[in-house]
Amino acid sequence: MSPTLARNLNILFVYMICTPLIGAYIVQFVQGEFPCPLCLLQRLAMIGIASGALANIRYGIRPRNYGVCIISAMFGAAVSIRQIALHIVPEPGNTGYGTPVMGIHLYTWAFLIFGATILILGILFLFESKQLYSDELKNNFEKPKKVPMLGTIAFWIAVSITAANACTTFLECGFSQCPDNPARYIMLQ
Amino acid sequence: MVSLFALFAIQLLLLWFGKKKYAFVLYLITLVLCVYWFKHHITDKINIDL
Repeated sequence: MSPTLARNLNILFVYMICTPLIGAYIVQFVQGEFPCPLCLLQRLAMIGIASGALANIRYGIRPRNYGVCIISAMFGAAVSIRQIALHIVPEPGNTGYGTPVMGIHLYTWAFLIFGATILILGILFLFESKQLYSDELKNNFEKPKKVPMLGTIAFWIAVSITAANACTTFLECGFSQCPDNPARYIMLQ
Repeated sequence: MVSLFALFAIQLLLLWFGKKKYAFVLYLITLVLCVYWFKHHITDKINIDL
């Protein structure tokens, strides 16, 4: 795989990881649901994954950046599993937290995304490990590289989503701990 | 939780504008804080009223 193709795939990866974050916002504001603390931690894990991919886009492909993606995905998977386990034996009438999307709850979708991230990166390392350590790239990691327009747009989308989440989380929780079962925006009361 | 998103936003900006080492350190700090909050929420009594 050429470095250009790898960078373009990382750009695509950022768009793919931003899609569920935008979807979560649609659920939050269109359907009027409030994200719980575990949901927010899953969003943070997705932003962490995007952070690793953006480092690849900006500085070139490097195993450490993929490490950031994998660690973030592992953290997100742990949070998702916890939330799935909370609802794994529901009481009668209890269908889980929030409205399912295409029959699956958002935290289960999140687990699938984190699992897919780890799987894809594992496959990448299986077949592309030599390219990641090539001498051509070894001494050229520290300086930012010129990024195509789509990469710049991906970065600003990721930053915007993160900043927007900071604002909406502030409205929902203020500076205190978020309630386990949020039902209103505390700061708007 | 607000601060975690704010830290990540700053981390992304540092990363993009050439402060890679600071961004990496900030990522690690944010990750540790995320794990702290996760531990706090899984050990705290969770009461989800559906």
